[in-house]
Amino acid sequence: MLDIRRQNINQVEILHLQGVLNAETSPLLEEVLQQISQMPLPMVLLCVEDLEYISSAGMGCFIGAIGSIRKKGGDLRFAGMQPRVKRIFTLLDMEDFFPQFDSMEKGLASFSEGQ
Amino acid sequence: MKQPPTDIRPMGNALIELIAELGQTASPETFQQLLTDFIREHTGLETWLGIHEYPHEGRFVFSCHPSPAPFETLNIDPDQLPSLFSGQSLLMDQKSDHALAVMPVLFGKKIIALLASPSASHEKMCREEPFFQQLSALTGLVIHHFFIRQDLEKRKNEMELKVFELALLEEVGTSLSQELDTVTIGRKLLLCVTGYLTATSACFYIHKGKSVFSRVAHTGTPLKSLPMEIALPEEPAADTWPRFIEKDPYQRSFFYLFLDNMGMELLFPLMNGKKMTGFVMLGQSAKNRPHSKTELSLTAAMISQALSPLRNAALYTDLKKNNEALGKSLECLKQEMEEKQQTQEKLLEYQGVVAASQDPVALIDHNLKLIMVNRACAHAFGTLPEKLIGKTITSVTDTELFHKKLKEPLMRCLAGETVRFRFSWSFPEWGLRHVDVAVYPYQGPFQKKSAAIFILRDITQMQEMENRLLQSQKMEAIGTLAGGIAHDFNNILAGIMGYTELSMARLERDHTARDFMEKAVAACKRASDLVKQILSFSRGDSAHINMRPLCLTEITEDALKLLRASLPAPIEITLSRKEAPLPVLGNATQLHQVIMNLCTNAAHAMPNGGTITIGLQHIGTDHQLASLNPAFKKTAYAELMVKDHGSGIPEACISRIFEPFFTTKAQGKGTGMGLSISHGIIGNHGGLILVDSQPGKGSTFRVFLPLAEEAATTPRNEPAPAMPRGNRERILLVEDEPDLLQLCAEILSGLGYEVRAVSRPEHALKIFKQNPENYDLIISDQMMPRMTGVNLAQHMLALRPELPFLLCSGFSEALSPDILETMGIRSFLMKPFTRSQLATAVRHLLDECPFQANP
Repeated sequence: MLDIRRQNINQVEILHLQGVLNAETSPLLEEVLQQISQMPLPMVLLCVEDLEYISSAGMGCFIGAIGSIRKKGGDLRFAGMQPRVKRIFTLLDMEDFFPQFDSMEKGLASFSEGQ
Repeated sequence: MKQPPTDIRPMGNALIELIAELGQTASPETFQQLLTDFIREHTGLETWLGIHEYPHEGRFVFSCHPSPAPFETLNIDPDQLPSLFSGQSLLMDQKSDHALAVMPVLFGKKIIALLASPSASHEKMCREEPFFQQLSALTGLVIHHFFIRQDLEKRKNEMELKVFELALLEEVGTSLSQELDTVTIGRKLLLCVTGYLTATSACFYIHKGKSVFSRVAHTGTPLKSLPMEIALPEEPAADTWPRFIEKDPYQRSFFYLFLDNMGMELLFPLMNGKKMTGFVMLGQSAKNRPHSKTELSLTAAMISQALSPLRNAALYTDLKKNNEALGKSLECLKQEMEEKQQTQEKLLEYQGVVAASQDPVALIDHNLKLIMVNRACAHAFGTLPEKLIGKTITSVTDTELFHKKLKEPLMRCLAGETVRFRFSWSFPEWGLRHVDVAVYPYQGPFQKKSAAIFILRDITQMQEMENRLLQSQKMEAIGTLAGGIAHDFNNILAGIMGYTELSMARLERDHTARDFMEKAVAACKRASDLVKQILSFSRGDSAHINMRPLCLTEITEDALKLLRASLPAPIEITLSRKEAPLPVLGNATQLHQVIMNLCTNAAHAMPNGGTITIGLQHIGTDHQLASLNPAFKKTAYAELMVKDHGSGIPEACISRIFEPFFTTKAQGKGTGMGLSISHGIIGNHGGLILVDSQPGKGSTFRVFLPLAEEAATTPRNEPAPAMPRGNRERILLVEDEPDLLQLCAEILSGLGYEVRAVSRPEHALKIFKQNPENYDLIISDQMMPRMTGVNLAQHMLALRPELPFLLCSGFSEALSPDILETMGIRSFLMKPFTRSQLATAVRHLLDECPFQANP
């Protein structure tokens, strides 16, 4: 249902999400994000190119984690977001809350550039 | 009213392109930009597009395009609106700071928008009126379409949101309904709700009991730490619960203050009918925007969907708990059963151990009832365990024995003391036994009052062994002592016996003294036998010494004759019962000694005189003696009874009377050896001595000897064998004791031998060396100063190996026949010897006939 592949490049935790992020699968991602948010400087890049669908529960994961991540000076960013997913961000009026990038490289670069 | 212009000034493709472009435009800003740019390009006028807001009552809204109007809205008095229907430009004084030139944009009969420009532009606008009229006519249509498109877009968005929301509701319902774990339900619900309302934190509490709610899940970063448990007041009343409560700083009632305290913005009660089973609280929105009532209602609906999964989860938890409890109970039951099984096995093992024990074991309760007995115990009483159980100890034992021996230790034990003691117990089946008794207090698991465990050990045999050991040790001591004096004593005896015999030889045959002298010789023989007996007794080999068939009655009568003479006058001896013959296999001297001992003791017990009653009887094989002592066999016995009416034996002494050196007599009156030796003698004869004594009334000693075949018993007075005589053979006699030397010399001379008597062995050797062939026989004592008989023999035999040599000794301990034979000593004579023994030994040796030395 949801496949989470974890990768670390330049201290950026990259999470490749594949499948569907809904009430059923969100607790899994919530745990991973919670774990990452314990780091001294949590920098998370969510590569959602292969994410087919996201429900409000998925959004709950991101919003729930962002508070503690940003408090430590880190951030949670998206790369390769598909229109269907982006549409949900729009519907919930959250399209501009998380920085989004076309590709993983750009997303990674954004962390190293200190944006 | 002016009619709108009918002729449209041709503006070529530019206008068509503009209209086409406007028709594609989605944003009002772009729309305005395109339009005003076009106007500026064609007229040089700066214009602003104001959209007439629904319901078209004079309020126009201007958007913020790159060159915005100096105002956002323009309100035209509704009364003035009709003037705009002309479709011509007007100068309007609507704004306080400046007047405006406006050009209405119509769609049908509706003023759909207007183009405004500073009042200074009015003149130019009027000049360009045809352009504006043509433009506004076309723009009106496009704006209308634009509105329709925008409305459609908005509806589409709303529809999409509705679909999203419906999908969300369904997702929540489906996802939660599968769950049976309260925490997972809470987590999933919170993720859905926080995502939908973009809340940065949320928590979920469920009712735990009374008014206490406990936290089952939380997410995000709450402003304040959330307690694990919260107690809510009973108020507000159940039916007044709203679907949600929003934080409101102006409200002071409990839940508003509660939200504030928790750092939360929203509270959604989860209602089960009229009862609140839980609540969800949400923190501030990520974008800090207020939520619409629709959103909050939908959220409440979402949360209410958790109700039945939570109920299911609660049921499941109960079920699981019940199952676990059941499982545990089963486990406990299993364990209990296993333990019981083990206990049972252990119990059986213990039972087996107790049952298998050869020692009688009994459990006696405070009522003195036998609760448990083992087989050995039942056997001792000649019954079965089940027949013994339930009976009182007093009913199965002798009353006197119980009161004397058992009662006190039993009572002490029931009071908690461990008691050990020994006594003799006559069991119905086992007979009289010495038992070692251990009585342990016992507090059983089901018995409130204490009981006593009786463990009996039959130590009859052990005690006998102990007694024998003790006896043998004492006998060894006696032996050592006797060994030391035997030599001298035998020499003395030899002197008495020899001279008496010599005297007899010189008396006339019918001389009156001859009988006395014969008795003296007989007494000497017994004295000599006694010494031998003590020596061999101490060596433990007396059992079969000189055992021959005898008649106990005859021996007793002999002894009594001697006794009557020696006992003081006031003592009378009565032979109350005399059965004869009573053939036994025995040693006459030893039996004689026993009778003498018993009778002497009886006499001593009656210092003022009295009667000693003697009884002799035959006891058949059908006797019941085993009940008195288990050592009795199923054989016939001869019984000798010696009874007195004296002082009796104190109870404390009765168990010790057969111990060597145990005496109650005054110093010098008794040696303490009499009964001990008697006991040993009778034991060696396979018999028993029993004693029954009552202090103050007298004692009865009963001697039992196994009856022998009635066959040949040795007659009392053996006829004296013919005395072998010498034929002037030459004998060298060596003896350091002058009396004995003279005695032997006289005997041998009287027998017809030529005797050279020498008292010192070295002198004898010297004489012999002078002429070894001068003697036919050497007779030498063994124990002599400076040189023993054996040494002397060695020297002499070295000179004449075939020399007949007779060695005499009063103490034969160190001389075994093997040693003597090795050294070439042909014969050995034990002192004291009779005249005839000496004569026979000498004759045998001289005739070169091997002589069996007297024992």
